[in-house]
Amino acid sequence: MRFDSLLNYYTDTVHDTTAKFYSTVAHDALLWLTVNRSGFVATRGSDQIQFLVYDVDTTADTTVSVLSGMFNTAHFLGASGVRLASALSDTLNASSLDTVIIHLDTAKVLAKAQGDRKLRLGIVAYAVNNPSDGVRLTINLNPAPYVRYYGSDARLSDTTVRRVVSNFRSVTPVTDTSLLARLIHYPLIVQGAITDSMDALNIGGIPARRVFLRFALPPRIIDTANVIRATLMLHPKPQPLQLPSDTIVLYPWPVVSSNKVMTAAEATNFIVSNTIYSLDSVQVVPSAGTVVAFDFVNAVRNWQNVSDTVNTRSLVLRILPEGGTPLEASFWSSFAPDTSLRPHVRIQYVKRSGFGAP
Amino acid sequence: MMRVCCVGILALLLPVALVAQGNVSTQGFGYPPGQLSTRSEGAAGAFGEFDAQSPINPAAIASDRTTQIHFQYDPEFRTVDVGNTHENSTTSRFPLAMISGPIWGSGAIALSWSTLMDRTFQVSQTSFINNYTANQRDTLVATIGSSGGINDIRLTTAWAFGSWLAIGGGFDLYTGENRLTQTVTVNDTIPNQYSNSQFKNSLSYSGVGASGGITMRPVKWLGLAGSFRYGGGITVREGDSATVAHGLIPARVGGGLLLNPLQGLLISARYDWEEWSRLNLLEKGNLLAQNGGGWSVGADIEGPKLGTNRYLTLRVGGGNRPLPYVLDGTPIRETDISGGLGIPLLLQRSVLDVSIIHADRTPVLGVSEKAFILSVGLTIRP
Repeated sequence: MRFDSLLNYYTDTVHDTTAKFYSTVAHDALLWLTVNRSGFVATRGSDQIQFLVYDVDTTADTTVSVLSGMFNTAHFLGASGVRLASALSDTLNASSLDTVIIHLDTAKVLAKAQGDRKLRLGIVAYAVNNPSDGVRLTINLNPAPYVRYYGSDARLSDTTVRRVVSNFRSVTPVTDTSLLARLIHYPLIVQGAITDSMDALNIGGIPARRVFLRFALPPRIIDTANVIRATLMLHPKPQPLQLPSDTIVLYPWPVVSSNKVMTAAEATNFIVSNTIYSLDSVQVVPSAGTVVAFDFVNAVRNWQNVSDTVNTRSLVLRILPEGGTPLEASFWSSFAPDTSLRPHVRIQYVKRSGFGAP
Repeated sequence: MMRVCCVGILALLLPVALVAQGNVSTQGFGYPPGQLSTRSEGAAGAFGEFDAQSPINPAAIASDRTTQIHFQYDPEFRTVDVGNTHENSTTSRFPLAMISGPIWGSGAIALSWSTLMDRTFQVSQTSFINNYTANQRDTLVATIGSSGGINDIRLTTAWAFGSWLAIGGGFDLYTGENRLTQTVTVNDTIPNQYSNSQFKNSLSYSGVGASGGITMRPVKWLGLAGSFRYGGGITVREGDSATVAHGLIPARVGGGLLLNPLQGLLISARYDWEEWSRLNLLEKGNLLAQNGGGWSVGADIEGPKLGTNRYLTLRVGGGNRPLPYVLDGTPIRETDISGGLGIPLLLQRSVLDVSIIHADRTPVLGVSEKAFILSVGLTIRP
């Protein structure tokens, strides 16, 4: 979360409300936020959940590798009290919110207020008693989280000192206002993200990933026979850190570019909705080891007698909305050491028989 | 590179011709309806050589030199028994249309369109396909169908020399098309899991021929007739491709005898020989066509009077004729028993003919086939 205009002054509530007094302390500095209880999930109800806050202000604070290195003791700003997962979770009342207050290191907050005023916070929720357990929750934006402190020692004896409250704001990058707005707050997987590798096909997550699949289907079948079923079988790489109850929907989007689009990264942008080819999405449990089957016969029928110079025989697997969920699925790629785990396609087809002249 | 595992559904299309066609009579290039009018069919074809509305004997049109239009509809209700399996099917045919009229006093001219061979059938086979994701077997239906046939468009002229002799000749143009489909569908409870397969094909025909004939009435109670068809070349094209095969239209020779022993009673007999083996030149498979002769006898009886000078006509007949193809070494023949009515309408300016034929075809390979062919013909004399 970015609070890039952390207030560095306070005002008097009684005597002269227009006068500004620069903060000399940051008493009782805290981060206030609410959690949507209906979306809260933890591995176990007995998990003790705690929120930790880190100072992640850096010029490279959109780079996962840089940011993840800042979730350490040196950048630690504060921790919430411990809450029982079963108490935080509420599946019955969808609109129920629970307030979380995290007290921040007053000296570090004051330094920020007196410095560049950019308070950028990284927030972690984890199970204190079982750190390897998964926790998923949504921080509510209405009411919006804020940072608050008292800017004067007088606060201890004088209630006329107004509290200093700062709201979300991002001031960088200055050249891209759209990106600037999107960077006010964003989710980031610091630990437990599926690592990219040659033998893995990773889909979803944050930042979102897509999989590009190009099929070398036998022309004697695809172009001259009629395929009645085509199924892509993907073997999962089970993700134990994903919650067992979590599911993710994968969408096979057809690529509509020719082979002049040379790279997979470019081709994954030339895609159309799966509904155009009547391809069905597939619901996947990322933590499970079940083989996932994508039926794509309608794509194959569209590829019949269509040259690569017009449209490559390719699909992109993606999630919707991309970047909107940390959930991700991973499958073995064509480079899997065990060949039986590699993706494969099963095709059932009807060959044209000589049924003309008797 | 992704591993692609392909399973072809080839076994669905059985090579045995009988199974592919689904019946005995529609083998090869199809079933020959006989080019007979409803009136002739009512007497099992026995009057074919003398009937002006049947494009058999060109000379016959000289016997009825009125301007007339004739067309007919012949649905066939077929029953095929294979062991304990009993299948019913219906085939609709429009086998004949003709327009004829007088020219130059004793002459007559006619233009006819008739079906030489009808290749209309549809056969389905149900089997199972492995659903490897659901670990079950889904039902798969493979269907092969054909419609259309080889048609004979004939321009005929004839001349009557008095009341005892007529001769005629005709030029035949053979045309037509078989429209074939091969469809595979899978009964699927999950949308978009399976796709249907459909292949289309067509065979088109173009050929020529000629025909000639004579009718004689040496005495009032006796008529004699004879005719032939000279089959010229025929070309078969498959789809958009160039010529697939050249062959010859089957030749035909036939003769008939007509007796008029009593007022209002006509008795006729006919023999017809067809050189079906010429079709073998067009075949690609193992089917063998045979030559053969068929006979028929029938009677046309003046029935009850309907108003002034209008009589209901009753017809009855029977016969036996070869169908073109030999199956499993067995020549296929068809035994017909028929009956019919001729109903004059509108002061004899039109006639509605109705006939029904029971056709019993030679059983072969454990398959027996019987059919009722209903024929409804309307002749209008404007």
